[in-house]
Amino acid sequence: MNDKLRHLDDEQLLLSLYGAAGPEAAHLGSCPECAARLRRLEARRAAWLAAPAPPPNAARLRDQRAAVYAAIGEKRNRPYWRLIQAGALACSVLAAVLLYRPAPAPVETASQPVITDQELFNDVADMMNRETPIAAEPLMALFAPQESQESQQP
Amino acid sequence: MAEPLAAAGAATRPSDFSGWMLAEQPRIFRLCQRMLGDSDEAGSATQDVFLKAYQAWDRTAAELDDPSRWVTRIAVNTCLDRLRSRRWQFWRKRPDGPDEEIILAMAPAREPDGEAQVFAGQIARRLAEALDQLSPRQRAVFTLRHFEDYALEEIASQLGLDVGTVKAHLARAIAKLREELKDLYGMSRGERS
Repeated sequence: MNDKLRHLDDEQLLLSLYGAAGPEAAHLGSCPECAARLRRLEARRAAWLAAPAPPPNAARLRDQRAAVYAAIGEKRNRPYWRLIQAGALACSVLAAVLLYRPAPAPVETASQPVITDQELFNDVADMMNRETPIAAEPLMALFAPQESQESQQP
Repeated sequence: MAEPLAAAGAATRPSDFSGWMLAEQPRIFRLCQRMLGDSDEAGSATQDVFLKAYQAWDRTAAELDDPSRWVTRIAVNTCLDRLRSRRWQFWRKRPDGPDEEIILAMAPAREPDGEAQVFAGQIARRLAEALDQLSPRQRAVFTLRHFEDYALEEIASQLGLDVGTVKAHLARAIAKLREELKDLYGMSRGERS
């Protein structure tokens, strides 16, 4: 009851002015004094909103537009760099994949015949004891048949 | 005033972007000034806003019913981002006070006589300082409602909030501003009853 009789304070009036008042704004319907205060506020606000706002500094606006145009131009030129960057990135990824791909599994090879130390020693000794080097054997072989033919002649 | 984008090598873009920017720029700059309280930062924010608008222009402009509303939303979000990032910039030098352009942007309609103009300027200066005490959301809501005269539903749509939350932000903003500016008000009339 008391709340309905109490005049709205400035804050409640301002909230009413901005359309954000709570239930206490119902008081306005029954109080000519508060309603008149709200109307005065509304009139003052309407006059303020209707008055032309002072224009911003023209040079400042021009500079802003110039900056926007410059940024747009920069952005338009950037795709070339982006292509280069994208290409470099793709190459890096490819190189990384190639370099770090897992090594191929070892191929099973036929087992080599195992040579014992004794056999190796014998082979070396045999090579050292030869009068004719192994490399010369094919050459010597050319002469061997003739010798044998001559030896067969009476 | 012809400022074709061709100057920036952008001749293939819609030719009306320049004209549209020219028409919207003063309003957007003023909105940024009121939201940020710093003309230099507002200028930088305005550039960001139109650059973002340009980037989305091709795919968005044709579908827009109201490009003004669209660019306002971009501006509000850009300013909110800047206001939020300010909280972390403890090293940021606070300006000594609102500059002349900000005071003009905040000032009520031009008063008829010199004394009233001075008084209005003082109020605008104090208001600009008091707005700095609000949270980014409160500031955005108050700016859009008080200076731009947006309906609460429109503010809710712009900020992605419900109307009840917008009302709550507005009520807190008004309470805080009244506290900051109480020496300009005198006693509340509600206390009479």
